[in-house]
Amino acid sequence: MKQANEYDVLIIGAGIAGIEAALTLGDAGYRVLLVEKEGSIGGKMALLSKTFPTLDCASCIATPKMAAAAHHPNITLLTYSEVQEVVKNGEADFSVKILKKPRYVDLDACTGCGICETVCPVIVSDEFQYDMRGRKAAYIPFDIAVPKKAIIDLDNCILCGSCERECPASAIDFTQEPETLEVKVGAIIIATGFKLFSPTLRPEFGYGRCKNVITAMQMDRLLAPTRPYNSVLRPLDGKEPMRIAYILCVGSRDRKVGNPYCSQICCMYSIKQAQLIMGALPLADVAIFYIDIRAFGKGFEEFFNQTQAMGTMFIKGRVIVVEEDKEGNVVVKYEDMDDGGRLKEDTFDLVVLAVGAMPNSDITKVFKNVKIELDEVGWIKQVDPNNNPATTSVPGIFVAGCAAGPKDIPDSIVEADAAAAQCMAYLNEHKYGRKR
Amino acid sequence: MVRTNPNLIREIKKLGAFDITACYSCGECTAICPLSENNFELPRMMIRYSILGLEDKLLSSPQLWLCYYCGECSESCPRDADPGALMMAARRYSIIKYSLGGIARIFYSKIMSIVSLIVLSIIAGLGIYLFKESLDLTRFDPFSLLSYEFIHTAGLVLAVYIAVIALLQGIKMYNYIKHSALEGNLPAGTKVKNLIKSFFIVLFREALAEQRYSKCERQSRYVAHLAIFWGFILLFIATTLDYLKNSNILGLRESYEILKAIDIEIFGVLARIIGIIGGLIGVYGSIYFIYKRLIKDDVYSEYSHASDWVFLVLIFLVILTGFLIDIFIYTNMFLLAYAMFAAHLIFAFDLIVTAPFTKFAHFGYRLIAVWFYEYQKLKISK
Repeated sequence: MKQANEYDVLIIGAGIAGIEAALTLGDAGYRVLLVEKEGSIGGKMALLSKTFPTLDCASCIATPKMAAAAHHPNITLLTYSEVQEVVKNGEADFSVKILKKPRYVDLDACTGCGICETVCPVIVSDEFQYDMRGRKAAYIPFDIAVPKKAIIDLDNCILCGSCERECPASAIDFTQEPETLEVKVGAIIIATGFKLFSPTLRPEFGYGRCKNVITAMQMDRLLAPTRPYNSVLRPLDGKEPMRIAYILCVGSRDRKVGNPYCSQICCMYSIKQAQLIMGALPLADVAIFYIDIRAFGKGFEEFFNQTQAMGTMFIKGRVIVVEEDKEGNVVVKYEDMDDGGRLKEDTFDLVVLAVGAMPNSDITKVFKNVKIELDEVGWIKQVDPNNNPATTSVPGIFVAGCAAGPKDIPDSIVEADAAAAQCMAYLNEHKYGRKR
Repeated sequence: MVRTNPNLIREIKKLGAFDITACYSCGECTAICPLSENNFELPRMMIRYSILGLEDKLLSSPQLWLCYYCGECSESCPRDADPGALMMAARRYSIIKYSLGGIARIFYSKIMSIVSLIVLSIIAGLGIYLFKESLDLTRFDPFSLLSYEFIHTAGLVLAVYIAVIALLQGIKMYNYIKHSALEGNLPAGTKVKNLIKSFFIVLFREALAEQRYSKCERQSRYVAHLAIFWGFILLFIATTLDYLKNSNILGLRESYEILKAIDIEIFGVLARIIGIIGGLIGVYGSIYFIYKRLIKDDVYSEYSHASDWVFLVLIFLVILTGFLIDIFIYTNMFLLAYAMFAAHLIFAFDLIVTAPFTKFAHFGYRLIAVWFYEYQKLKISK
């Protein structure tokens, strides 16, 4: 594929916000370079089960957009690549250095048949299944990956050469080297999304200490169409959990770990998962331990009421995970505030931690002569959120989606399109001189 | 009907719970508390009472005294609201409220407490000066400073004073906490049996061994607290033995044959040994807490109210001077021993006279609360 070296817009991060912004800009005729550090675009949404409150299949919404972005004539996709340096030379004039990490697979030749995956003898933990299943050292990131091309994970590869011998397209190429691209762009959209809170920072909730304490992202994988086990099973012994507890606000609204804000999504995704669990395991009891249920969006309150009516128990009170009993069940302690504040102990087969969203703003370090301001928690600062929501402290650099703060999928889409529109206005004024 | 005191939270905040209004009532503190139990939950409920101004509910909660401020709640609180400090401040508040006529308020104001302690010290000093005898500098004889009769009478007066006030304030506290009694009625015989049984549980497990305290995470703090308590007890025993030796066992020795067989000097030796042990561990315990409150490296010692300092320093001075008397007698420095004895009497006087209204009172209130709690537990166990 011949690479041009000048684009209208560079979009950093190809999650749902980055893809949406790229599609809007591409449709409007702007040339977009979409850079993603993972082997596939799609971000976190591609891994989710359903969206709330409509229970639409998340991958059924994300996949067509991913494919559209990959095949759009105005969008150039760079996966497995990282932006290394950005210099602002003037308005609508940025010099960008991008590192193309070697996949050891020829992208044009690879057909995504998966034979390399079958023959590879090395099994390592699968980060896209949140460590609940193994993958090979030669692998396709996940089932609905775009582009659906293999990657050789050289850190774990034993260089046995099986994939190279067996590949029918002769696409394996161990001679690839890291490559640095230098491009010029007129504007930049940061859409790096968020990180999940690491629950080991809160040992009270037992993550790492008890095997059957998992994060909600792991539960979403268990419920997704591309799920690891084809059923909801708990990690320790593969048993179908019959009593499942959710602990909300893990790492959100928590000054102890430096995240005083509400992550906005955890209440609703937990409620969504409760409904899905009732579908997947009709006999299971689900209890959601909450501080406050924040069902603020359109249709959220109704969704919450419906879940309550379906039989999910909502218990006000924060839970402490005491220990793991002999059967691997999780013993918890909590103050049941609806029952006069009585201290209770209970045992659950599986405990799910509704982990919050954390800032993912490391990208700001690559900007050399301009400084992108962060807010007090570390999200990228929207300097004028009321009038220009996508504007950062640097003209010509915009922000979209969760990079600016936690939000749900519809809000990310709206913000991505806002960033795209503001980007066009900026380019028209400074690059094409089409100011009205 | 529940009466609310809208100023309650302001008053409690002044006593040390500065951040408590940040609480969003998640209940993590109650769940993580090693001492929280069914029917006796703490501390979230106490926070709600304080914020809502439910003064009677707060003062009726024996839970205030079931907490030993290990600080686990404050360490895990997601709002940094410091629930442990609220419990501590509420205890200070209830010492004021349980005291007769609210007189303890004086000892929870920095200036007033220092002024009243100075006044009390002057009274004690004047008393010693006015009633002093001629000192015997060839040996240490406490009765050559103050006569046997004077010490005897003053001791009796103070003992009666303490007993009466402790009883009245104990009743006042009981009238509050009886509202927290659990439901259920037992036959009178079982009630008496349970009352006695729980009393002995409190006496041996709580008063003498502070077993509940040991459930808190920091063992060194538990040991130091126990050291102060036993330092006090041992020094008290040593003082009594010395007193018995010098007072010739109240003249009983002449009356009973069997007592004549006892060598009187054994009391002196015993008093010396027990006194030195008690003095050493008491000094260790009080220095531990003074040091901790100075370096503020722990949750409970981060903030010290004036009343904490007054109490700690007085205890330290009483134990130290008592200990130094022994040292100076041992080294034959009798004049210094007399000086220490006078200082010891003054500090002990300050400590005892103010005891029912200062932090010292926590000893009594805590035992009543634990007794109440043990009794209630027996009630529901059947």
